[in-house]
Amino acid sequence: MSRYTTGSAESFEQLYERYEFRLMGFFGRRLSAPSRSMATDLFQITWLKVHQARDRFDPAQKFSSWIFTIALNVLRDYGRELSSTLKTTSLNDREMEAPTPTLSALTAQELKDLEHEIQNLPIEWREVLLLSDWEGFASQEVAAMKGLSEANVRQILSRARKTIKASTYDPN
Amino acid sequence: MTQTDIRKAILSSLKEEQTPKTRIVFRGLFWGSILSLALILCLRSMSRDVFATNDLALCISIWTTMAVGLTLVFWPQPRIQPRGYWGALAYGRLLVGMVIVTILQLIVCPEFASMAFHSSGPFSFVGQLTHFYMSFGGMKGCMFLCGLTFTGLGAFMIFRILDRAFLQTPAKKLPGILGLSLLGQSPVIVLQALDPQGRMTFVYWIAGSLLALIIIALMMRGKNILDPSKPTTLP
Repeated sequence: MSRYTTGSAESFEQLYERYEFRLMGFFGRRLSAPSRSMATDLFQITWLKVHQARDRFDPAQKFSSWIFTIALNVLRDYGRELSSTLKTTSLNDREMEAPTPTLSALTAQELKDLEHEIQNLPIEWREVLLLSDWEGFASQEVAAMKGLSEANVRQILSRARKTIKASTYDPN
Repeated sequence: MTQTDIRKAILSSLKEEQTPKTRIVFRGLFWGSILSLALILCLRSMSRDVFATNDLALCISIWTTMAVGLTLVFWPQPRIQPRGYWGALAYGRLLVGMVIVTILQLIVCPEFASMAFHSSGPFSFVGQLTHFYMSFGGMKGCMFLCGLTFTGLGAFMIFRILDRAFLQTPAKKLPGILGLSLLGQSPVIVLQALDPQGRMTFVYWIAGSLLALIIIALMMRGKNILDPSKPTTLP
């Protein structure tokens, strides 16, 4: 990152390759299929903001947390205009990103049910759960990205997971 | 040239950043001067007034706005326009576009900036329009409706060129965009503010202009984001 800050094209390309699909997946999962093309715009806006703010990057911080914080802010800013399209969480988007081994093990119906359960969670819980369980961030990183305390993140995660588990086994 | 691939756009920007900033500012000033001169000569060739302080203020306002706008356009940056994104490139184009449209407004209807031309040329119908507008509350009504009509038409042209930037623009960005659009019309504002008669009514023109800008901006912003005529290349 420090070399990218000083104008190295190679360093930028390395960063871009590392985060391209992860970031596209991040937006793809948060937009419903009809407005999926907007994911590309949000992806581009995130990189534009990264490029503009690269001089202000704190080397003590992890680049992944920083870029996803920017992505979250982009989603918050532009998501208001797309509020209706942000209602669906898509976990089975093979165009955006290869599914994780855990997701691959699920059948299409189970995946659909899981999407539905996540969808019913409060927005804050859903975001924390996706950042932690799908993007793979530690509680400490999620806390920094969302401006919450680590204890709060753990509490939300625990409640969200319990809610999903409870409702998945709900016979009704 | 605007690109559609963010990776290529950023790589080009990194190359552009190697150009000294002073050279970019100089390029903005140079092309700003050339374009301003062309617009001023166009106006002067039609005007029958002798060159006065008002004209000097007009020249300064055209040149300043144009130079700032072009410097923003030339500034090293990824030349890409995602939907709803406002960067230096979009702001620069908006400013330059609004200055050009403002001068066109003056050519079509010089009366609302108290300018007198040799003849109204192909725009003689504007005289009839002015009489019609005068029937709605005299000069005040005419200024308001002129602002609404001409700024509306001009803004529609420019906002249409910048439609990708307008699509899904976050609401918090709109006041800045509208303010800049109004600033792009500084040549008319300066002329009206310097004219004793215009000073009494130019608030109505600004009100009409602002209303037109708000309507057109909201129209462009709310366009269907799934418009198939606006394809987006996947990175």
